Amino acid sequence: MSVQVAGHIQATQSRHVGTVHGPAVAGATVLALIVIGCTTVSWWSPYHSEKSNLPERYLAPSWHHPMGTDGLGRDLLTRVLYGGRISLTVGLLTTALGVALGVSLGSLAGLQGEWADNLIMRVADVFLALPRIIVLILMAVVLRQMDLPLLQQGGGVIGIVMILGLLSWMGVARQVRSQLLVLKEGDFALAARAVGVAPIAVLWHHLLPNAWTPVIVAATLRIAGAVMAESGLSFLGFGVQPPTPTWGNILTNGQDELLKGHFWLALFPGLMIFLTVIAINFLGDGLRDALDPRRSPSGG
Amino acid sequence: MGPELNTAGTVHAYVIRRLLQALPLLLLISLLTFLLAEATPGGPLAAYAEDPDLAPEDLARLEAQLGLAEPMWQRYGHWLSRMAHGDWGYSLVTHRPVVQEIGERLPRTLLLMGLSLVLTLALALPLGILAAVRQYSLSDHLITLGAFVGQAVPVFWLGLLLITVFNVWLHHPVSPSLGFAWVHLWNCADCAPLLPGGGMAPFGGVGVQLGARLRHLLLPVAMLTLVSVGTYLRFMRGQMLEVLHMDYMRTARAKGLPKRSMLAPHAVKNALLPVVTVLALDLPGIFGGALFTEILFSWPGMGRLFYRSAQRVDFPLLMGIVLVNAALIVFCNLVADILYAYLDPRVRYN
Repeated sequence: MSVQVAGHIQATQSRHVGTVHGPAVAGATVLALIVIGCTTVSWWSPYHSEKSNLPERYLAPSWHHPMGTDGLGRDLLTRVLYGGRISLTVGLLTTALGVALGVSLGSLAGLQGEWADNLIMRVADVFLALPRIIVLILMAVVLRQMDLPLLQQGGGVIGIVMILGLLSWMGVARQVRSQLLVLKEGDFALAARAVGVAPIAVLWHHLLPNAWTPVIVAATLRIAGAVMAESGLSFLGFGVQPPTPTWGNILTNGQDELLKGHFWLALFPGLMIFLTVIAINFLGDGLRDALDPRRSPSGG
Repeated sequence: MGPELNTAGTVHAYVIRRLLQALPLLLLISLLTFLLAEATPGGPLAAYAEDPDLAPEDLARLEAQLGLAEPMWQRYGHWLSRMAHGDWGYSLVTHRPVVQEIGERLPRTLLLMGLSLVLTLALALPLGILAAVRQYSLSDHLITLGAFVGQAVPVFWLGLLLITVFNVWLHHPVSPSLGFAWVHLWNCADCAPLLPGGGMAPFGGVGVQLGARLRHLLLPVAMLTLVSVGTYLRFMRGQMLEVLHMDYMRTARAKGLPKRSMLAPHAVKNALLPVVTVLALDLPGIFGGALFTEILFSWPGMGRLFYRSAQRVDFPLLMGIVLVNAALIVFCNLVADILYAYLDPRVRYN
């Protein structure tokens, strides 16, 4: 037992002097490769992502086409990497929007007294009580009916970011709120208020800096959730619309081709989503272990 | 832990208070759903607005008849009272009552979810306990890695992979003399797909019905199970680890209790309790997974109905399904809370 405890303490300490967290490093590497592939594809790929090339349709994966080609003879690897640009951008923007909303609403709930707290947390309950995909589809339907030209540019990316962001604040808001409820009673906060620092400055300079750790972890994991949600929504046809490619809507095409035996059209776009999500999850877990001194590296 | 804690009276008061907390949540959901439908341009009569056979005065008459000219809060009140009386309106597409449409499909969705939930727990709980008891062993690492993979797999992609393998690639001979003993890769001369890739059950007599049902359930249930196992497994492992480090476990170990008798009554029971809560909290996620499953496998349940209604902008059905979903989830959370209060004497009811 005592040996176990000693080993445990050692492991915890060594983590903080910079031992590498294996899965987190692997996650970061995979993620970096995907991002580099997506950003540089236009420099090295000899294929066009949109133009059809009918003589080369439905080619199975080969040296020339590592992921094969689709029904219009387009190189799937090239299309998947172009699609990744949109999918990853949507994931990042959505998370940024969600974190901004979450920090603002969480701060309001934590500091503005009971009324705001109750209202904001009950709305969060509503959003958490319903299946995310159902709320997303419902909002996408309403947005589509509104017929706003700005929201239809680029396959409706802006609209998708908006509705995904609108559904991504609850976790962060809860974290920020619970942290602030404790922090605002702290002596340093009392002191700042006593010398007349404006409430918003107390929040920004004194309280929030102490609450960032869980927010960073939650935001990292949120990116994975956003990538998954976007691809799910696009897969069902309520997200980003073709011809703007995303992993989700490329996969929709793969579903149609599946029964004809062209399995690669379904395999690879989904594989990219899977790799991205698992890489971010490993990274987020590593961050949590590294940033939270109270958490044991083993905890579930 | 005073004696006043677990008397029947306090538990009842707690149940009633939780009920009273659940109602405003449902009301808020209904209000937000209503507002969302209101925000849709054109409103419920949008489909008629461009109908050349419908004169403007007819449209106005319809508007008055449906109460669309009233102020919004009044309409919300009327709508709510109609919903409470079981009048949920008619589908804009099929013109059948919403209650009937949902009532037909809800049991099928619950069947799918129920089966996969049972299977999920049957897999996740033992594996989670095993991983915790043998922390840092090879089996722990493999199980935990598997859980991570399961949590990162997009549910719709997993469905496509299952269809590829068990419907497109694997076949079995149809001829009865060969039976089901042989599985063939790709298509052979007289072969059928190993498992159906969609639908509920083919037409047939009562005898084949059950077998066909089960064969149609196999892939959807597998899909839904595989994506949820990871969450419960990791949670169970974490709970179990926490319990194993408790003082009373150290006491049990110090007393020299054999490992088996120590785990079963002491550790597992305490680690299982919070699973009840997580189960209820995760229910929206399972509903979401069921939606994808039903769409991919053409399972005629509530999720697929929602998807089709969304494609046809059929708002009465969409709103009905959202509310049924919300009510089910709120109800299950309530049951979980109450169950937890009965099971765990440490819970305080204030």
